[in-house]
Amino acid sequence: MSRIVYTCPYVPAEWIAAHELTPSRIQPPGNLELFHSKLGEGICHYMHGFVTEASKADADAVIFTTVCDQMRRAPECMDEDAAFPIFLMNIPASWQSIESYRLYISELRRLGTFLSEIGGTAPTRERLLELMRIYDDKRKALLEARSEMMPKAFSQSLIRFHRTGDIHVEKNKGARPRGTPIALIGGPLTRMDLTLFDVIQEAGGYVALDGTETGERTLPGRFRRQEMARDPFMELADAYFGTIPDAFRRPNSALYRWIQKEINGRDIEGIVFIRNVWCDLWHAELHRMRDWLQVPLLDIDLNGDDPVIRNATRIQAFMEILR
Amino acid sequence: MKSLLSQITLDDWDTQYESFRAAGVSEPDYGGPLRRHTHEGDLRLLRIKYDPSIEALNLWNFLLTEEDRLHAARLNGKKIVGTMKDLGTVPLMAYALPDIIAFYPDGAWWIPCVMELGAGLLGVADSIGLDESFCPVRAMVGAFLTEAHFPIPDLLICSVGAVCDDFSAIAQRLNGLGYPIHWWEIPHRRHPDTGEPSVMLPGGAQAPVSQLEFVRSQFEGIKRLLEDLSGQSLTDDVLMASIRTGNRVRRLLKTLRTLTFTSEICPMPALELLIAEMLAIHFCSDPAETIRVLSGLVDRVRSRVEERAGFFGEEAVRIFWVNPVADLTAMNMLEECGGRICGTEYLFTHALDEIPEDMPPMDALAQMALADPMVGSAQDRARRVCNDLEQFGSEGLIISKIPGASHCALEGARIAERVQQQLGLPVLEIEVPPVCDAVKPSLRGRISALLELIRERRHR
Repeated sequence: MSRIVYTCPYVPAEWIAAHELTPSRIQPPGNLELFHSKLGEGICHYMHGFVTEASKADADAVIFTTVCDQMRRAPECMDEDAAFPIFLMNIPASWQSIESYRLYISELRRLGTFLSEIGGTAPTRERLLELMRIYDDKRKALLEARSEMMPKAFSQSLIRFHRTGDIHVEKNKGARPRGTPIALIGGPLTRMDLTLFDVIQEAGGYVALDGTETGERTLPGRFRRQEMARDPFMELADAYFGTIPDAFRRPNSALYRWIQKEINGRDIEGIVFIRNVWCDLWHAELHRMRDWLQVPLLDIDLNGDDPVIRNATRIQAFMEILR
Repeated sequence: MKSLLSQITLDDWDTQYESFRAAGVSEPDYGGPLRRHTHEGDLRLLRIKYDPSIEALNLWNFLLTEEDRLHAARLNGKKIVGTMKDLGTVPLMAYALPDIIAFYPDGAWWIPCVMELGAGLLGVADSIGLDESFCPVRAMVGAFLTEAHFPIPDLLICSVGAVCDDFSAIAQRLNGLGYPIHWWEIPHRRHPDTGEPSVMLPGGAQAPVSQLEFVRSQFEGIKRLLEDLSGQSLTDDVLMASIRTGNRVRRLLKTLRTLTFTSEICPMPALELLIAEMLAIHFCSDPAETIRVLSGLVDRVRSRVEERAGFFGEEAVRIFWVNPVADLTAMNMLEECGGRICGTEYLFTHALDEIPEDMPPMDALAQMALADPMVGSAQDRARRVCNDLEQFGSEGLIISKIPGASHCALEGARIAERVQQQLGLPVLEIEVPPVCDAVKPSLRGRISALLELIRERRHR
């Protein structure tokens, strides 16, 4: 089956799969010489890394979204001779009006048309329902397994699930995360950035909450079975557009409510705030979050280089202070 | 007859103003010597070179008294609407209603320049986490928090979606500080899919009808808010009347731009033209006066063209300029280096193009909003720049990056590529901070090199 590559959490995997195509939400590996050498000032390394990775991947199509200015303009960074079709999906920043919902829904339908045009099959209601149940059950299983996994393994499982649709639970065999519970909050991580989990662990803490864009924060809410049975497409749209909190949304109050709830629920003692250099959307939240949340916060900026070299000392100091 | 005019300094303006007074030249109620603004902290005026005409003086005074007008409007019981980011569309709705006055808090981005950082707005922005990695529009938050500039609006309306991240993030920060904002969505303008109903927008870009309908729905929401605020109905008739006023302004600017860009000798310096263009966005809080000021400028420029009078001589290199500069003196610098402006794209061409009057007014406004160069792709923007470059006969392009702006890193390269490939013209990218004194030698060197290259090409 054709592989459809994307990185934005507002693109429903089920919708792609229902067109009998393979959804593959990917993260760039990070520290790619290829993209780093081309990186100009002001360009987000995650965006550039995704463009590079998508170009290299055996993708049959790539989906970009408008969640940030740089991703919105990313298709223009793709090689004009790219061998695969590109789709740019409009994700409204506003969410409080019915028109914004309608826009998201119309974009999903437009995506469906695109997927059909590149070889997909327009889904039947039953097929969409079936796939929604499958994905919902997998996400539930992954989340339930979280307590039996080491934090990094859990985040890696999430990445694998997003990329392949498979769940792989690597249980911790009795080992428990120990130390100070930390939340990672912020923008997306490259695969290399997962080494931050190790740094935090070595410094005496553990990631009790991966609230980055590539972590559990961006999992859609559970499908409501009754609504799903009545109108699966609308329930799909609602779960993705209506429940995923993020910094780019206007207003972004739902992000703060989600963080507060999770911090309270997991007894978080410190936040490592992740922002990619040149990401204005997350950068602007740093100060507000510091004011708003009642736990200490450490600001970490990532630029595509090895995050350990750049941040280990600061994280170690932060963990010492928390102890 | 050819007559070469010279720009004057603020000192020269003192003398010039006295001679105008002695001659009994009439001025509007906001008139007066330009120097008085420096007493209020507008120190950058001391370093600017000006067009020496009374019409230019009126333009400057009109611009620099906007805050006074806003405060007076508040005292007179008018409601003040802060329209943010869309640059040119929502104010037309606001001004259609009596007792509402609209302005762009975004305009505060020039305060650090005009006051040579003396207002401390960037420092205030720094203190709440909006550091220099953000676009200078962060000064807007400082202006809100200090309340030392414009009055706090009764209603804030901000476009989000296909806008620059800097502005969206800064506006959200403002909202988080307790300023309620009505967000409206402007979707990324996409090319219509095959067979999809579409329209050609003013400016030449195309958009799907479905996107127009969506934007119109957003404007319906804004309309209700404005009606609630004013207690009056925003009918199609009053809205069309406002659009006609807007079009008068746009036609005046079209004349001014065409005369300035295409005349053999430059009849109006770059800085005054930049300020004149800005009036199209929200009329500097007074549409009727905007028309008077622009009419005066058009008359002056027309008479200069007829008399073959102007600045910089025929040899001045004809430059097309993309993006507004954070430091106004950069426009003087181009002229000091031997250039002149022959074409501009300051991110609001959609506020300069005429608004269609042959369709329902809300549809027309939706078209204008979608025609915003920031809303579409860099390729669309580059296409418009190329068309205008050819129309105005520019010899080279300067892309002035806005410090920190999320779109500039990607857009500039695309525009430069297109201009080089399609027209074979030289392109220079520069970055101008709010007060550019420290980097002036390097900016001057880069601009001079471009102009030298163009002069050399003339002789090949």
